[in-house]
Amino acid sequence: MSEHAAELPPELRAFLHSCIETIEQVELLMMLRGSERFRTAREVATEFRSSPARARADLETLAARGLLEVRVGDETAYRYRPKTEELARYCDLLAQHYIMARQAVLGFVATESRLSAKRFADAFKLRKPDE
Amino acid sequence: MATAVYLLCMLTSAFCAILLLREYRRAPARLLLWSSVSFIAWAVNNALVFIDLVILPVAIDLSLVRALVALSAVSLLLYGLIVDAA
Amino acid sequence: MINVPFFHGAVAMGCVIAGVFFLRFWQQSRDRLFLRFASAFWILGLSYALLGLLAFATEFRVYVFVVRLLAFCMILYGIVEKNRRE
Repeated sequence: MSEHAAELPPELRAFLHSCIETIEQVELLMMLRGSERFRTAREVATEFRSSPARARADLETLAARGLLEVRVGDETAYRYRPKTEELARYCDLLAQHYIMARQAVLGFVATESRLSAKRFADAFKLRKPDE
Repeated sequence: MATAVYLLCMLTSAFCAILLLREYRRAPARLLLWSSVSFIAWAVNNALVFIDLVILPVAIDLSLVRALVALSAVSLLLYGLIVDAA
Repeated sequence: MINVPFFHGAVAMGCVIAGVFFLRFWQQSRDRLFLRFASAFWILGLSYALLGLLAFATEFRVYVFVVRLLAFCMILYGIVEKNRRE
């Protein structure tokens, strides 16, 4: 686990620790970043062969972190659009490492999300994003 | 002044314990359980300091009890950190 | 009759080790909360080391507890800092 952590720059580790919970979210974010199109939870579920509920949960989580733009309509659709320069920079950094060192990124997220350290830190957030 | 010091320490420990227990109830994780119990013990320890030094300074000496409670607190935290932190 | 400072030393050691665990969490995640917890537990360890090493007259014990207060203030600061950054 620590080998993965060592390969990634500290800002990327901090971004992943605070914004990303699972490998699926990383892959989802990278896919959405690759196109300008709005996508619904149903389309995402089909593409990733997962359930629409899971897809929607992941999309809502990423949107709550300020990474996606939400369009409300007959069906809620999402598009990659980071709310701040800083977030965009972190996503670019993530994309870079996703290409060059995918194992390190996914390995870090996989252990990071299981690590109770993250749960410990999350306990001290007084206002939770809607879950 | 001393009273304020001991009470603030006690309240902070209790606050941490409450936050950790709240997160534990959301979804259990061993570190959350053990660290919250640890902070409860710290709160008890600080309350005992308050009782020992402010309320009943001469009548009884709680220093051994306080030390044992503090030792339990830090041992519980270490247990949680060691068994759960992958 | 029981040597209480022995337990103070044990608690001090436990706090230092707990601080090291929190430092490792900080190194992995870069979450400053862990840095604050690490310093808090090291300060707490210092206060117990002082209690164990030095023979304090009753009036001066308050100063050691101010050191303990610093530790708990560090925790509060960490919590406030974390919530302001989010």
